[in-house]
Amino acid sequence: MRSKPFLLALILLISASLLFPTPVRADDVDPNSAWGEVVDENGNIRYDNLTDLGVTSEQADWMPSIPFVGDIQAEYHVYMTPSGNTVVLPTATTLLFMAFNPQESGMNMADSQLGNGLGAGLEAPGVLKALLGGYLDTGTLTTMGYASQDQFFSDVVSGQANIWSIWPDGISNFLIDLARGSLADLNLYTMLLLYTPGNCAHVPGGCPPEALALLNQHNPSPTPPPTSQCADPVVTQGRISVTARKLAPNFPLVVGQDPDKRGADAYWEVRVEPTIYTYWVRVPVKDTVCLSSGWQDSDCTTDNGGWGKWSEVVTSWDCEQRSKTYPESVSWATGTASLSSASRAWILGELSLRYPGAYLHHPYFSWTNGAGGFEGSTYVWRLTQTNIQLADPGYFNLSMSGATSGTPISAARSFNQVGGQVDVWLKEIAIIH
Amino acid sequence: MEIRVSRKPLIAVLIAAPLLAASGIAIWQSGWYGKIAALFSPTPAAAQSVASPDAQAVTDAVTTIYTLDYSLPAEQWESSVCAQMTPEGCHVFELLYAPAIRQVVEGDQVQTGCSVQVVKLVTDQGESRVWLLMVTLENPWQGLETPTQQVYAEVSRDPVSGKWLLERVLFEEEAAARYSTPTP
Repeated sequence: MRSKPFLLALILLISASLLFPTPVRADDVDPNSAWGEVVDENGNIRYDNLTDLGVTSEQADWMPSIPFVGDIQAEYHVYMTPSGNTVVLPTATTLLFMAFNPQESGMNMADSQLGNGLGAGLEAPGVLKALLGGYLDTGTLTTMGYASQDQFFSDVVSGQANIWSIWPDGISNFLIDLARGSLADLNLYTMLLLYTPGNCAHVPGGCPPEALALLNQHNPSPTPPPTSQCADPVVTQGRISVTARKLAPNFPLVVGQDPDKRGADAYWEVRVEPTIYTYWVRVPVKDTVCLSSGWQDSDCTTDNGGWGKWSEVVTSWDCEQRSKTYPESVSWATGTASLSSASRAWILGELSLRYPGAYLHHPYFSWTNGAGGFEGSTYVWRLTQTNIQLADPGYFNLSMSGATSGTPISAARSFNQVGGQVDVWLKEIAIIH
Repeated sequence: MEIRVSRKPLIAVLIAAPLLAASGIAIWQSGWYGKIAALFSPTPAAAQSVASPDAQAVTDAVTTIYTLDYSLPAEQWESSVCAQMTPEGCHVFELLYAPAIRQVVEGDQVQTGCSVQVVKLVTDQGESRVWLLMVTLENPWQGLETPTQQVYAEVSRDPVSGKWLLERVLFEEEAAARYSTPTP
């Protein structure tokens, strides 16, 4: 009869071994294991037994960056096994950078790894050695102070050696061989990563919808995620506003009556606010639930009293609002001062009765010598005009017309708005009888 | 031994020296010194771009890479870039670089040209060289921190034609590790 402490120790030992991915060689696969669904006894992938979920790519900050553009995309071919496991096959390039960053890339989060032609080591240093070992000779290693390739690649993975700086030609040569086809990036697999349904959240590129559906079918208690899409993006063009005012003097006199010909000073301003692109992205809402599992994984009890494991699953989707701001400038603008129609009618009507022959001297002015620039995201174009020789009494409308530049998401626009007025005075003399 | 010096040259030197000194000070203070000196000492970039075909090749190829227009077919841009690259460089570009660049170009509807200035040669292995360039985008897209960035690019000489061709633009991590000066 086994004692309880012995049983507990055995469970702890088995659990500890499951904390890290189990490396398996393709030619050493137990047909009854999870890999039995994926490869045959000769190490060939059983494509006829797998559901091809296609190639998926994701922006990953552990991939190297291109100037201006950012990280190159990580790319994987994803398959699903009949029992619902997800099998991920990274391209050779992606695998290389996964191995540089095994934790961040999720490589270490796989339930199991299957290597083909990788030699003994299937952890990150072993993968690097398999992919890059052929590019490194003993002399180079010795120069760098390493006694073996294993030691070198272990240091690279642990961050103690920077592969870019101490071995620049290796990466270049790897990429060149990739280009020459001696390393097939798509057709020949070097490593497969297997994720059980409960670990689906760690699948690089995200848990495939097919695996999610299967997960929810097996565990119907969480609310299935709605399939509805988020709203269409909305483009809101920025407001265009014109303001204008008289600066001086307080009471401008028609220049015909002013021996100093002072005229009036005026100011125009147009403000173009940025165009806002509002869009919504689907973000998963996750919950931790007890999903059925094998007894060795169990750390909870399912609703029906079976072995279970706490797992993070997507229960629904939210639409998260995001926005981008596109500043818009002014291509051209003209400030104008135009005698109002009421003032024109007054001069030609009532005033001409008292001063026969009264006429409109100069009822319209325009200027294009303003300038503009961005103040934050708003474009401001300004014009100041001094000593405007206003010869007609009345109210001059100060307007601004022009066109905007448009933005990458909206067309250019024209505008013509009145922003204020200038009052021009006439001295009248009355003879008292 | 007695050294005889004629009086006339001595007087000429005594008159000319203060005059030369005064003109020198005047030129220095007026700022003309820099302009005159610049005429005789062209910038390294100008000198290199004129002198070396590899610098010209890297400038042209990188200019093509960062001349982006979302409205033009991606194949047109890729083939323009590849025409200036080695066959291997082209394949790596199509496999790794082009998808990432096109995603930004199409996502942000990018339309930009660029100017490329050669800064210096940083690695010379004879038939393969790495140049440091300063690239400025004319119409940078939203979210880009700066329109001007350093770009390291490798060119190699085609053994048959002798023509310099772009191998690839170095990754930022790679360039930082290989060429950044560590700061204390």
